[in-house]
Amino acid sequence: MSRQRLHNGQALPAWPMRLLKGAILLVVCALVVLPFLGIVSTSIAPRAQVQAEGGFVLIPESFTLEAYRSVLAGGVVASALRVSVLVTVVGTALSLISSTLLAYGLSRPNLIGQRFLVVFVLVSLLFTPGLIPLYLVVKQAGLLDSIWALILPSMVSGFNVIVLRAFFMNLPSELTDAARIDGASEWQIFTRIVLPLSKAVTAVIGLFYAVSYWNAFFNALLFINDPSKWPLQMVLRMYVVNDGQLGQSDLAVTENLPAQPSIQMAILILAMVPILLVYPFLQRHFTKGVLTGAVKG
Amino acid sequence: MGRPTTDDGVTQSTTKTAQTTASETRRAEPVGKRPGGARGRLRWRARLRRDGILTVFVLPGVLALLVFQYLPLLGNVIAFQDYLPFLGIADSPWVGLKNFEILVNGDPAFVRALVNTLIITAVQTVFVFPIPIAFALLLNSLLSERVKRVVQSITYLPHFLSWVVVVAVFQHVLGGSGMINNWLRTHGHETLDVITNPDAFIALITSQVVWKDTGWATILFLAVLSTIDTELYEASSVDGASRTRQLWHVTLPAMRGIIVLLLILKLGDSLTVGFEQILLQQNAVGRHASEVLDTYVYNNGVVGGNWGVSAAVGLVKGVVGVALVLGANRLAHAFGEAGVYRR
Amino acid sequence: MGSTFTRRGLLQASLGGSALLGLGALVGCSSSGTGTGDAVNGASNNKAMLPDHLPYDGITPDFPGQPGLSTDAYATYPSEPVRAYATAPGDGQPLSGLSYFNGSLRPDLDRNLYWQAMNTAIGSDLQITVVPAAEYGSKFATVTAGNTLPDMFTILPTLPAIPQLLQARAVDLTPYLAGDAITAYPSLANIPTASWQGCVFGGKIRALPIERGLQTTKLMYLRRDIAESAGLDAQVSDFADFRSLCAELSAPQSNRWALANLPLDYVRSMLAIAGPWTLEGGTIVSNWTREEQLDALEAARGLYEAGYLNPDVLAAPPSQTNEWFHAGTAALKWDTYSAWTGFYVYSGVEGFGVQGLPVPGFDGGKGQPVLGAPNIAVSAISADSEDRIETILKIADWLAAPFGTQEYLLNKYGEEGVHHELQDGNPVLLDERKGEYGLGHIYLAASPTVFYYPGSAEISREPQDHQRSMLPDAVPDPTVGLYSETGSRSFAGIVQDVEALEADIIGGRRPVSEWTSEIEAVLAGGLQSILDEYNEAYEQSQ
Repeated sequence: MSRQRLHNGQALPAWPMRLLKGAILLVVCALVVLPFLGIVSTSIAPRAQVQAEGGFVLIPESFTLEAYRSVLAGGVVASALRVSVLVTVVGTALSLISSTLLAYGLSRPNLIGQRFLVVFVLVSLLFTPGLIPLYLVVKQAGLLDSIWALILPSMVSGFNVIVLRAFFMNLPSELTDAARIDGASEWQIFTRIVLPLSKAVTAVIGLFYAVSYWNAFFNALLFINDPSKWPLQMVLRMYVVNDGQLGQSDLAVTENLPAQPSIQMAILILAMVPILLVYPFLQRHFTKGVLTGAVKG
Repeated sequence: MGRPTTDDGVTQSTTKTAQTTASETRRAEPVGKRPGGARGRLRWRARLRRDGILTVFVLPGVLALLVFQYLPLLGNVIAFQDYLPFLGIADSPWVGLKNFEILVNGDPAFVRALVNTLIITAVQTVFVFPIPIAFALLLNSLLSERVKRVVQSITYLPHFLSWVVVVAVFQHVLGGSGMINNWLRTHGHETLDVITNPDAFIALITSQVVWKDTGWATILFLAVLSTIDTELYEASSVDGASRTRQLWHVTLPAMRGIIVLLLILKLGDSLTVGFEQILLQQNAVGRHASEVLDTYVYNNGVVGGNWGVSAAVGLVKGVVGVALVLGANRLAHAFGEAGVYRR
Repeated sequence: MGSTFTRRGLLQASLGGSALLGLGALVGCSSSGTGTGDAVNGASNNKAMLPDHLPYDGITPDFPGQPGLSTDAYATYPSEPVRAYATAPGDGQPLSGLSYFNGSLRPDLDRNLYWQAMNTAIGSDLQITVVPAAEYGSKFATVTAGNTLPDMFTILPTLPAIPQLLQARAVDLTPYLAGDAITAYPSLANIPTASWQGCVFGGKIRALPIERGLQTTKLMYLRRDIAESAGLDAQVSDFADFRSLCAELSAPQSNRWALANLPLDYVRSMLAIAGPWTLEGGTIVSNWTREEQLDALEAARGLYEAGYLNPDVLAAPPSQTNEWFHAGTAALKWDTYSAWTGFYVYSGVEGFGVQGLPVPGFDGGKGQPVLGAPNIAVSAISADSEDRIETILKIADWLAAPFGTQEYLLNKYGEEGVHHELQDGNPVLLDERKGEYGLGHIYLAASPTVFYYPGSAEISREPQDHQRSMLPDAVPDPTVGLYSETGSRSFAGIVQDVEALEADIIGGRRPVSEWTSEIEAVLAGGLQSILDEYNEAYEQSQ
């Protein structure tokens, strides 16, 4: 690769252009970072300051973990974290397996009923089932209070399948055709050619699935009656203050809590951090080109 | 090329669903190129032997959609009922098309809501949709892999905030008693009315969407960019192509398919614009500026717990969505694009 | 459809109290009719149906209230709490329930000493599914549709078609509680009659009250510490006084505004048009059609225009307005009596103090406040559990043990030495076990509320003093105890429409003059039917 090229072979831009780009990126990052700074600061600022500044603090006067301690007390959050990790890992794995297989099948013109099935997937994307009928289906399936109720109803997303299929169809057909002529089975083509060439999109769709499993609380609300089986987001949801509902007699138990905004922000951060940790591992896969190597190899 | 499986269970279930799928297919293509008959059936069997394995591939996904998407959709018959959960579908009274009246009652507020919805959809398609593409191109052109990753890791953070939080953050910063205006006021300057200004509403919600989801949407486009064969760039560079020419002749053509696909899917969602986001800010600017289809239905039916109305509107939106997607898909074909599916 | 209802919860969470206006009309109603339309007539409240009121005499309040006029207040927790129950009420079988709770989720039973202590004291295991209040509607709908209702469940006023629902799924409690039958349940008998009126549906007692009595009535709070340090006299005797108080409390150039939320209902109280309904010469009329509405709107709009309201007052959620009040960037706030001691509990501000403004007439004299609904919710017992009804009622009775009893102490503060310690006779919660209390039982059965601020007799008593001065002039919502089929389905939506209109007018987006024509449209669009149904029900009840 010559010095005049980017890692992926694009020509190198001129320096005024690079300066402009740097400026744009700096501004964009600042627009995101500053509000986040406020969220973190509010979660660790002392109660008096949070109240004095009306519930949003940009620069904390001092540092306290009271809000986090208050949320983490009792060990409920820790056990909910385990449920969330389990649901996210198992769910994402099952989703990726079923979705890539489905998308690959749909990308093959010789799939029986291909056209019908593509429309079948597409239409599922445009109609939302009602929550009562969904509850009845899950109940009939005997999944109430089971971890599968948090996975199976959202296992396949029509959107993700259609995007995967579009990527699979864009792969150069020479490779797969050649393999077919050599007598490779569909399974071999799928696992040895299509998937390795689609690492980037598979990583992205995996991230989409993982994040949606991680953020989901509504299925847990409806299908899980035993709070010890609740995922993190559902447990944290309990803190969402329903204004006007909390009366004085209900406040007896919340006495001396840290400022409400601090708790809200601490919850936000606790809910975000674990899933953010996954990102760097996936990121490599979709920021680097993979195709050339594979084709040449 | 389905290999015989050693596991009996697998073989059985395979055959069974293969038949189901085949019959579904026949239903879906009633005027297929080759009508049935003895020859047709023979062909099916041959195809099944050859392509049955693909049916096994799609089976788990299709089943999941069938059970957890389509089966509950049957429950949407409550669109024709005054449905009450404690009575159930069996005992709730049937009301014909009454629940659909909310969409055709000619209420000026409804027309206004529809117009607002379409304007917001148009604005967001024009301004919001291309931004992640441009941002992905910008990131992709960066020299340093590390800068690229850091920027990307930062910009996708807001996606993890709920709308309640995003709206609150915007208010803390831009509100009449927010940080910027408080600073302006104490320094003797005029204040900016952003949050409670009906004229700025669309700009406000659009910028909130951009702030929240640009980084996230960029990820998919970066994945597309990563699939571009680097040899294409190298070859074009050798030919002396400039960066702009590379963009037009290599990069964008490679992204075109997925861009068209996402546009079509977005079109199917035309009647849905940020319900939570807008509802949270309706009081600030009033309903005239902010009422959209979903909030209108919410304010006029759902508040009283009217499940039938929300099912009815869901059905209509679904049908409109299907029509729009299929129409757009045809249009895409006319321009030589693959669209969602090829014909 | 599913997602819409998720979002419905979100709206409740964010716009909060707005739906509460409809609360009296929705919960406080006796009932008729089913969803299928074959109405059961006799909507009126049969007085003989109600349980007798037998105030609990085991404890004497330090500052006794007067029924209907002021709430009992306590300086300290009674030093030797009475034991109200000699034996545990339970039968050893678990009590299942569905309710809501906001705050930290309780740890599991094996790590939750409070839960264990409650189970032991009650003699039955409490197994209550709790969900956040914002999501309660969705959860409740699915559980009802799936026929999986537990022994007891909370009915929030925001649920649709409550009378029909209870008729279909809840035990008729009349034989167990009406008249002197209630003597078997001394704590339930201690709950005032006004609250029981909200539990009669279709001429039958079908629910237990979650009583809040006079606490739901709203008043105008003033940050006393701020007013004092500014040397202001808070004795407003007409609207002009109030306006000049607002002016003095506002200093926009230093980011301070007098009002944290809309003062419209306060101004309406001055004009005697607060609340949606008034009883006028034996007929219920809508307050919205009164001419004085235009004066109230004009006055409130004037306050907004003059910059006496926080500029984000129309945009911010209620929780945010609380933050302004504590930050002192707003010194006036319209809120319920139940907030009084809560303000002190929450505030971390040195010298923090509140007082209530009086309600003068708009041009002097006396105003006319309106009482809030006596219950924040009701709870019902599943028809499927009628075979255990007496045990369940006994447990509910135990849970409703009044302030001053040992049972109340355990219920609210856990065990001494484990959950709380006594300081000067007052229970102070210990930090370590604060998360254990959210079992959800407090919205299945509750005792009458009292004013009690541990550690300060003064703060416990102040709200009672204010009630004495304000409530003699207050009127109740005349529709409490009456039923309107149309109202039970559509009044919540109408209230939202009217509130949106109010916000438009106060914010200057629409002229005051549009109020009249808009309200006419609201009348034609359902409000008139609701009025007619209420009046019919009212006539029958006379």
